[in-house]
Amino acid sequence: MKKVTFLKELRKKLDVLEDSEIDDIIKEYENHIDEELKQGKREEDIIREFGSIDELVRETLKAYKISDRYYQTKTEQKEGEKEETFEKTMGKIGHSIVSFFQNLGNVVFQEDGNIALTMIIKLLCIVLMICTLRLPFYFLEYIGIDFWLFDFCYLVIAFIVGYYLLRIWILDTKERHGNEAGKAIQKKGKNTIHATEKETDEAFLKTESISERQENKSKISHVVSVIVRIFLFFFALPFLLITIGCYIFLGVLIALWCQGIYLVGLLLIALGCCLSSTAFTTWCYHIIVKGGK
Amino acid sequence: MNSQFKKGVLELIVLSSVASHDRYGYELVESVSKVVDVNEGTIYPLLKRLTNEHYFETYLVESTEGPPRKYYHITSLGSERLQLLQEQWVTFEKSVNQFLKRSRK
Repeated sequence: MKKVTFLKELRKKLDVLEDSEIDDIIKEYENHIDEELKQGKREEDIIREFGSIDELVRETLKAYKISDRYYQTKTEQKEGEKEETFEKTMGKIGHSIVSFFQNLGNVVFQEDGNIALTMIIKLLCIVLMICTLRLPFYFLEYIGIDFWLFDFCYLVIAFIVGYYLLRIWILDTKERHGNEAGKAIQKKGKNTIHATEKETDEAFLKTESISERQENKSKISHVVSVIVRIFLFFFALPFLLITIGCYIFLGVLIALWCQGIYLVGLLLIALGCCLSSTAFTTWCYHIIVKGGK
Repeated sequence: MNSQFKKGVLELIVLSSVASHDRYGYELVESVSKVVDVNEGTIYPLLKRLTNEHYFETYLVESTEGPPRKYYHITSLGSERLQLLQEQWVTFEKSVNQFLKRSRK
């Protein structure tokens, strides 16, 4: 390894530290290498004597009380980022949207806020999301594909999405009620030993809603990934038809070629179309069916 | 030599080397590697740690042969640490030697 590559790699691996510290460390190694070069040693030999860079980095980070584990998890994270699944990214987007609206609600109505008003905002969000689902259908109609079943499909999808979102958000408010009810039970419990049936029902609801709440996070990511998959499905469908058309076209051209009619330009175009549309459709299929894993 | 042995005494050697007179990084590495055969690269992290723990202070001196050199100077805290390590080393060495002598008989 050359001096420049060694120093560059070392700098990259030390990036958790402050820049001034990194410069300081790099300068020490650089001086060392320069002194050794003066003695007539070869660049590669000097760097080989340093041993593995990871070992040096680990020792250096120890000097700053940064544990190996941090270094390891950091490098693992970097590798893991690439493998992050489609669903997770969609989940993150979904979370940020939801938390954005929740924050908005908190700002407008402060802390607890008026539950009725926050509910209205949530309903508006649902309506907005359902409206965006209409977009691909408009797109298809715009292209000129008109199909009476589209309206029906849209209604079904909108109903499913709306149902899921409502379920999640209503559970969210229920949980608040549940907490209040829980507190009330605790207070009453001190006074009366026998709890009424209604209260036990509420307590049951509370524990249930808390466990549901934990599932909510994964549900939100699930819903968002479902929405994106639906979008992609309507993209992939026409492309699938185009792909099939391309292949038929290619077949016809090859048949013509066999009969002595040479259309080289058209053949190349058909080949290109086939390849690109196949690639796109398989990509869509991958995401829709396997969730981009 | 056993690498665990080396690691243990390296701090002691580096401290006492700087205690005799101020040294710059490469000079220190040279003097230390005369005593213990260690990977030269790992001495710099040790210097960094000893500086971060306030056993050393550093200052820059212009050099005629190249870039300015960073010199290491031992602090009073570093001297205390050196003393402690030296005492520990002496008693450790003594007891190990005694044990070895006795078991040879």
